[in-house]
Amino acid sequence: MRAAAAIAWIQFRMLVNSMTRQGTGWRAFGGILLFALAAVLSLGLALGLGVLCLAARQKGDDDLLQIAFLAAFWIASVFGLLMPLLLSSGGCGLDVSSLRLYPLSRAKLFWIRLGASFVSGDHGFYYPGLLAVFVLGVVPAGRGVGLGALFCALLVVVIVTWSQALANGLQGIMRKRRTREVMGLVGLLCLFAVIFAPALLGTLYDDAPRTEPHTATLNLQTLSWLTQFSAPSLAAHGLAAARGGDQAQVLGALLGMLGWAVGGAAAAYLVFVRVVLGDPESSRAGKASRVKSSSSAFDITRILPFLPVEVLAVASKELRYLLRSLVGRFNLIMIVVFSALMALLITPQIPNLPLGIPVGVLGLYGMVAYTTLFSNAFIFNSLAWEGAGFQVYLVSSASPRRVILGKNLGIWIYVATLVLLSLLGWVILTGFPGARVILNSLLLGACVNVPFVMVGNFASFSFPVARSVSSLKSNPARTAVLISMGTLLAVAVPCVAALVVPLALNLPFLQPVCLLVLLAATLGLYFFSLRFAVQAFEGQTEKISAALEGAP
Amino acid sequence: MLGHPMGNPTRGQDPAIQTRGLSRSFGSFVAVNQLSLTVAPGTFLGFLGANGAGKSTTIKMLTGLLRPSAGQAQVLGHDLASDGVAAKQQVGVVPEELALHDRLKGSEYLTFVGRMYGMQRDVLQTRRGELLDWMDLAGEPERLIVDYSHGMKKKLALAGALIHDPRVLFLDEPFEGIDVIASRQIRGLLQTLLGRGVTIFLTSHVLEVVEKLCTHIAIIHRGELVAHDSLEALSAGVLVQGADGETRPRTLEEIFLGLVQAETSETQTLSWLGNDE
Repeated sequence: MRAAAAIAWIQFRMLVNSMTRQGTGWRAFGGILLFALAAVLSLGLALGLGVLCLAARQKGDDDLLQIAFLAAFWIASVFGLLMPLLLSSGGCGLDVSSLRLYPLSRAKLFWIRLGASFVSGDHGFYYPGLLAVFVLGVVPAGRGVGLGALFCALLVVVIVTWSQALANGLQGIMRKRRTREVMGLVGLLCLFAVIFAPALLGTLYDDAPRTEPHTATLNLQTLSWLTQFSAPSLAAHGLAAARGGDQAQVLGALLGMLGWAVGGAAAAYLVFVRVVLGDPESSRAGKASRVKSSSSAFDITRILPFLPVEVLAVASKELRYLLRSLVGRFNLIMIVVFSALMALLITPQIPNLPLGIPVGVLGLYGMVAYTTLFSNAFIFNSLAWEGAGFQVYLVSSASPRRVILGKNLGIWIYVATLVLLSLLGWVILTGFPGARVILNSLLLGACVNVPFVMVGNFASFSFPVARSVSSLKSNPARTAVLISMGTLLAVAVPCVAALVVPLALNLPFLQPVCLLVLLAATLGLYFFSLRFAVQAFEGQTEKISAALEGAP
Repeated sequence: MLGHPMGNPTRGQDPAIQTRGLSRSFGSFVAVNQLSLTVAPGTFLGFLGANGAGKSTTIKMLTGLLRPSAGQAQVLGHDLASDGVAAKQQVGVVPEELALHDRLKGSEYLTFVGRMYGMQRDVLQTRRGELLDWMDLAGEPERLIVDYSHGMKKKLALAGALIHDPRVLFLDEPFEGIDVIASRQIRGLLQTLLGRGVTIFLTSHVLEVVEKLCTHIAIIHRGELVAHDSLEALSAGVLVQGADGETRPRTLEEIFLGLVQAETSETQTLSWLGNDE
C-alpha cells in the first residue's frame, strides 16, 4: 500500500509539475486553450447525450433512450480504445517499467499501471458522457439503478483493460525492427477494412443500392449479429433489460460483460508482462542481430547528387529516423487503412455537389490533403528525436540553412511516400481516376505540405519537446498544435479556391495550372522564410538543447 | 593566478585556442567569469575543475554549443562569433552528452558526421572503414548505437570527432564510465594525435590520466581560471614529504586540491554507520 501511495503521489506531482511548468506567455496560453478545448468537447458530448436522454424520457420513447445508451457506450469505447493508441504510449505518464528497480511484484506493477489509466486524460474524456446517460437516463427511472451503475462501471473496466492490451500490444509489434510483424499487421488491417467497410457503409447509406463488387463481402446483418456481443451493446441491452425487469437477459448481459472484463484484464496483463516488463537489454540485443542493412535504401545522395552534401546527410538521417520510429511506421499502416476506408466511403450514390464537382474526386483530394497531416507531429516538432545528437548540428561546419533544408527534405520525401501509398490504395479499390486528377492530387499534397513545413520550422524551434523514437507519443507542444490548426485553416482557403474556381468557370483544365501557381507561390514563400527560420534556429539553440536534453 | 599564460605561439602561427574575457552567466549565476586563455598548437591541455566549476560551459562556448555572455573566443585564428564555420571545419568535439543519434548504426553515424563536414565520398568511405576497425565494429555493421555499450559509444563519439581530421580536438570527460581496455585504446589514440601536432583540450576528473597525458594544465575554480602552466612548472618549487619519508614534487591531485581549497574531511562519517572505536 505504501508503494501504491508513493506512486500515486508521484503521478500527482508529475501532473501538477506539468501544469505549473508550462512556462509563460504563448506556451501557457496554448496549454490552457487546448485543455479548455478538450474540456468543452468532453462536456459538449455529455450535454448532447444528456439532452437526448431527457428528450427520450419526456416522450417516453424507450427506443430513443436505448439509442442514447448505445451512442454513449460506443463513443466511450471507440475513444477509450483509440485515444491511448494515438496520443500516448499506454495511458499514463509514469514509466512503470522503470519501477522494476523497486521491490514490487509484476502483478502489483500491472495493477498500478491499470489504476493510473483509469484516472488518465485518455479515459477521463468520456466519463462525463457516461455520467450524463446514467444520471439522466437510468437514475430517474428508479429501477435498475444499481445494475445500471454496475454495467457502466464494467464497461469502463472493459474499455481500460482492452485499450491497455491494444496499445501495449501494438507497441510491442511496432518496436520490432523486423518488418514481418508490421507487414502482417498491415495485412490484417487491410482485411478488416475490406470486410467491414461495406457493412459500415450500409448503416450510412442503407437505402442506396450498392453495386460495387466489394460491397458484397459482408452484409449489415452479419455485422449487426456480431456487434450484439460487443461490450457496449451488451451494456446497453443489459440496461434495457434491467429497466424491463428481464432477469435472464440481465444475467446474460452481466456474464458477457464480466467475460469481456476478465478477458481484457488477462490480455492486458499478458501483454504488459511481455512488452512493458520484458527484459529490455536481452530483447534489444536480440533485435539488434536481426536488423537488416538498409543503408542503401536511405542513401539519397546518389538520387539527388546536385544538392549540397550536408543537406543530403541530414535528409538521409531524417528518413532513417522516420522509418525506424514507432509513429513513422504506425503512419505507414494507418495510411493503408485510411485510404481503404476513404475509397470505400466515397460512394457513387452521393449526388455530385454544385458546380458538377464529382464527390469521388473530392474525396480523393480530401484524402491526399489529410494524408499530409499524418506527419504533423514531425513537422511541428521536427527536433523531437534529436536528443544529444542535436549538438552535431551546432559543432559541425554545416550551416543552419542546410540543416533546416535537410530536415525539410527528409519530411517531404516521407510525406510523398505516404501520399503515393494512399493514392495507390485508392486506385486499387476504386479504379484509375484519370491523369489530371492524379496530377491535381499530387500538386495539392505539395501545396498543403510546403506551407506546413514552413510554419512548422518556426514552431519546432520555438516550442521543442523531446520525444522517444520508440513511443507512440509524438504530439508537439500544445502551442504548436494550435499553430498547426491555424495553418490548416489558412492553407485550406487557397487550395480549395485553386480547385473550385476553375470548375466554377467551367475550365477544369485550369485546375493543375492554378495549383502550380499556388505551389510556386508557397515555394517562393518557403525560401523567403528560410532566412528567418535560420535566425529562429540560431536564436533558440540553447533553449532547444535544454529541451532535448531529457530525450530518452 | 598561478603560472603564466602561454601566449608564445610560434611566429606567424595563430594560437590553437585563444579567449579574452570569456564569460557566461545563467541568470544571476556566473558560470564562467572573464576567462582569458591562450593555448599553443600541439598542446595537450588538461582543463580541470571541480563539479560545477565551469569546465563544460567553457568547452561549450569554445565549440559553438553555447553563446558567451561576454568576451571573445578564437580557434586557430578564427573568431567563433563572426567566423564560426571556418573554425568548426578544423575542430572535432566529443561533448559530455556525446552528441550521438542513437537510432543510427555506427557506420551510418560516421557517414552522417563526415557529410556534415562536407567530406568527399571516397575519403569518407576509407576513413569510416578504418575507424570502424579501430572500434572493433567492422564485424557488426547492423547494430544500432542505442545497443552499444557506454565504452563503444564513447569510442564512436571520438571517431565522429576525428573523421574530418581536425587540428583541434575538444574532449569533455572522455574517460568517464569506460573500462580499462577502452580507456587504454583512447589514450593511445590521443597520444598519436598529439604526435601529429593536433591540439587537444581535455576535461577530466581522472587526474591520474591527465597527469600521464597532458603537457599543460589549466584549473578553473568557481568560473575563474586559477592556474595555467605546464605540469612541470605547476609541480615545481614545492616539495612534500611522502609516506616513505622521502621528499617528492606535489602530485596533480595535491596541486588541484590546494588550488581549489577543497574543504573535505576524510574522518567525517554518517551517524547510522556508527563509530568503530
